[in-house]
Amino acid sequence: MEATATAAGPSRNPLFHFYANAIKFIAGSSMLVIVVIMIVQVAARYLFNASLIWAEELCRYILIWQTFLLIGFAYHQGELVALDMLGKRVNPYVKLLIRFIVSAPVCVFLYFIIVSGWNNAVRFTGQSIPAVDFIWTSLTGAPAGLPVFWVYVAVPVGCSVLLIHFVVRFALDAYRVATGQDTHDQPAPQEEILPL
Amino acid sequence: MIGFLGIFLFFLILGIPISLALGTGGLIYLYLTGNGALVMALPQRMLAGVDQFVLLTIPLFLLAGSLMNLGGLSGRMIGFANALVGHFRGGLSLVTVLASTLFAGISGSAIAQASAIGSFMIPAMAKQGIPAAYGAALVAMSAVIDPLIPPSITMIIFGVLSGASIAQMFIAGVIPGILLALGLLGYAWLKAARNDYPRMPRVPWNERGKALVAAIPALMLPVIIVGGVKFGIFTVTESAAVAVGYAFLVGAMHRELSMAKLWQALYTTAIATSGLLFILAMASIVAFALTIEQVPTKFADTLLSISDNKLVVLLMINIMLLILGKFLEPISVMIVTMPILLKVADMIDMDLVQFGVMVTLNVVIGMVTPPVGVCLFVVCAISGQSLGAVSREVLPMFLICLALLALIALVPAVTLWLPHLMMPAP
Amino acid sequence: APIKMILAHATAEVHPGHIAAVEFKKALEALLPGATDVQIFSNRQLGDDKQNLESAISGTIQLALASGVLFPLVTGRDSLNAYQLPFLIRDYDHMTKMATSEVGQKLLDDLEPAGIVGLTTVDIGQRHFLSTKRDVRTVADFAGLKTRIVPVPLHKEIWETVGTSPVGLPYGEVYGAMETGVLDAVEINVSSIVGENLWEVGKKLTLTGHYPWHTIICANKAFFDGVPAEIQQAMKQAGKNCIQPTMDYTKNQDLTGREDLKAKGVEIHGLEDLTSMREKVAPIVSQWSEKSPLIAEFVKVAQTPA
Ligand code: NA
Ligand code: NA
Repeated sequence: MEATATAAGPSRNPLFHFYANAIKFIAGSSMLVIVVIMIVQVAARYLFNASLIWAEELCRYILIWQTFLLIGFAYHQGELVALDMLGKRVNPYVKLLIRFIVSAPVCVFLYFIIVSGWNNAVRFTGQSIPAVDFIWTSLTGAPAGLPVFWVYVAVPVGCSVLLIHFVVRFALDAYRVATGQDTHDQPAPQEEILPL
Repeated sequence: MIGFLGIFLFFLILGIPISLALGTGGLIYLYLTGNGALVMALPQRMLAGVDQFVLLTIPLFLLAGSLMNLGGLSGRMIGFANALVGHFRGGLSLVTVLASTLFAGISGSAIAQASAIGSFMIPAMAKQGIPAAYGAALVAMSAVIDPLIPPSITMIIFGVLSGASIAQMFIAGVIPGILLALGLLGYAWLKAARNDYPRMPRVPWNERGKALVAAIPALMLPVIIVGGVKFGIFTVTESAAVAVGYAFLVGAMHRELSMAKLWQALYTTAIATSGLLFILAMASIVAFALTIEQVPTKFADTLLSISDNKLVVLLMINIMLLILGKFLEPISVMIVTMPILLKVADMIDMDLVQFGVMVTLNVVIGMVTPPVGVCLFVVCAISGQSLGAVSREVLPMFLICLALLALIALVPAVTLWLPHLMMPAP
Repeated sequence: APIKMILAHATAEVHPGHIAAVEFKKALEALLPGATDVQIFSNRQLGDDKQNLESAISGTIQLALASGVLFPLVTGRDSLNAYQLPFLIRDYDHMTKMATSEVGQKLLDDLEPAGIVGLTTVDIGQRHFLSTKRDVRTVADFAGLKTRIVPVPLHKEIWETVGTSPVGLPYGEVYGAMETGVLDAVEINVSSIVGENLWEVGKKLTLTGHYPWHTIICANKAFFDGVPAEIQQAMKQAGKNCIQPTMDYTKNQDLTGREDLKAKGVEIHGLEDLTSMREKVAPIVSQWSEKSPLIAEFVKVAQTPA
């Protein structure tokens, strides 16, 4: 029995390379935005006795998007902790079969979440995001009326990305088993692991 | 609840990540209890689990810790700890505990601490002839100190879920944190004396002064956080952003932060946070499935029907948490059990701050117990030791944790004396 | 078999919101014994106010009780703001009268395009002004106080007009923020000051009574349309029947709450120049009346002398 980071090996696929860079860009810049908004909020209260009434809400929405959009990539990098109790002792074909049996319900779960997540989001196209309205009103004098759909849709979008990662990982591992390559999960490239 | 745990463990043992095992298990449980139509409620529960302002402290404290580490501050803290206790028998093992205690003040998460301290100290101890499995276990156990000393992500989440004052919990955790540090120092010293582990050369007083000066910027952070919150300069949530700003300034001052390091810290923090918050989203599904079946109410009733003796109830609730903690990580344990916990706290009439510190320590102990112990995974990865070997070394120190847990549960002053002193109720 | 309905809300058992839910359930059972099975999930068991309302809209639960201030926000239907136009609702009896009036029913009916059927409107407590340091006795004393409000346009407008510096902090952070001085004040009702122990951190209460905290029980529309006509009718009637007992409870809790607070050392007094506060915010009432004919009608009825 041992713990394992369920990370995929490095990929040289240019499309994946582009995706990885885009995700890192979104991750880094959204984090930066949160830090800046919150520090400005504290400073504004003390320097100008003013409070950004939209700050709290906007930060929450950024955090929601961050969580769901990045989860697929986090899975890819092995950030989602899993056990590997079967280890190397089990025949790779048997192991693959077991993984298929337990992975199928997970895929069904993600599929349900994607469908009901989408239904949940489209139901709230009439509810606008107050934070954006406050910002927009102070800039242009009129509310933007951006629906909260754009927050809630983070769930189906994020789970779709995760589902794709999940299926592709399984397919790649199945391919490795079929072609007789090493079936053991490879560790994530070192620079990807959180330097904490 | 037993039914759900069975489904969950099935997925977990067969290699599904904890978060997805929680979500899938929750969905299957909903279907089995005849509530399949409620699948449409799940996306909203997932959003609700993540949509909390105070959760922003998770990425922010992670980022602050990361910047402190990149800025060379963990190295300085280890240097300072070494200057103080390195010359005792088994010096480096004592340095590990002391450095962890100091690091607890800049880090919000035990995982972050285990990897930061572990990557320095595990190889260093091994080089001195201290067995690697013991060194790894010591690093993992010392990481339990982290969530007790502010900042603490575990306490923040307990506060969010229960409504307990996070500022008071932060202060209430300090004495238990120090007691745990003393307990581990004592154990490490006894073990070193029995096995004749080597010492480090004694550091002269002027060198100690220099080490202290180098460590001061890092030692100031918890003071800034607690002081800033206490004097109303910022809220607990905002204090995390201030910590990031402070860590950045200190790193920039020491000229050890490059743009590339900074950028990498930003995006790796966001991705790691995603993994943590996704667990929260998935655990919210489980909590929802259990609540719809009114499991928390039934559970609390059952507990009371066994005994209404305060001590017996406390004992049972702690045993339940310790067992769950073997398989789940702290956040999910708290989300899934919070409705039960709040009923119990009310029943036995315990102060919510004291109760919160007790629960915090209990669920964090789960991070160093097999089979699912995230801190153990980290130190196993660093040391190359097996989970079994490290777990054996953990056991005696686990007993120290249990003793502290009992002390917190039975003696209110251990947790409540300091917050009442610093923030007296008007 | 009785028709099962989940009624979710975020308030504690002693709160008037929970009383409204219980009274609604009782009234419905009295009207049609054994026909319905209302399961009340209190205390945020299934989520906070906004989440419960959203669940009722999406139909994952059948009934929700939530603060009226959220309905315009979540449904985009603006007219329920009418209850919180400053100083429009005079007292609890006036509130009961408006909630049971024809135009009160029109405001509830206006929610149907959003997918919910409004069943009842109650008040869980008139709002006053609790401050930590400064004793607010005149309008001038409001100036610059960092005051927690619910971040919605109407409240922001009111409290900026009054002169405070509004802060949109989550409700759960109010106690800590007042304790440490991040906040100077909060606009709040008496029973919440007692219930959330805010009296420990705010010792000066100015009785302004600027607006009620109206709270609404609503049903998912698809669910409502699907039940037999006699149950539909009973649900609407139960909505009406639960108003008076709830309002009695609210009024009583407000009065005993004030005595409680006095005993705990809170200074309670009125605003010396309440008229000038009223004059200051009066233009907001006419501005918002122009936004919707329904609000204008509500204002007209409310301003008619009794
Ligand atoms: Na800490
Ligand atoms: Na564990």
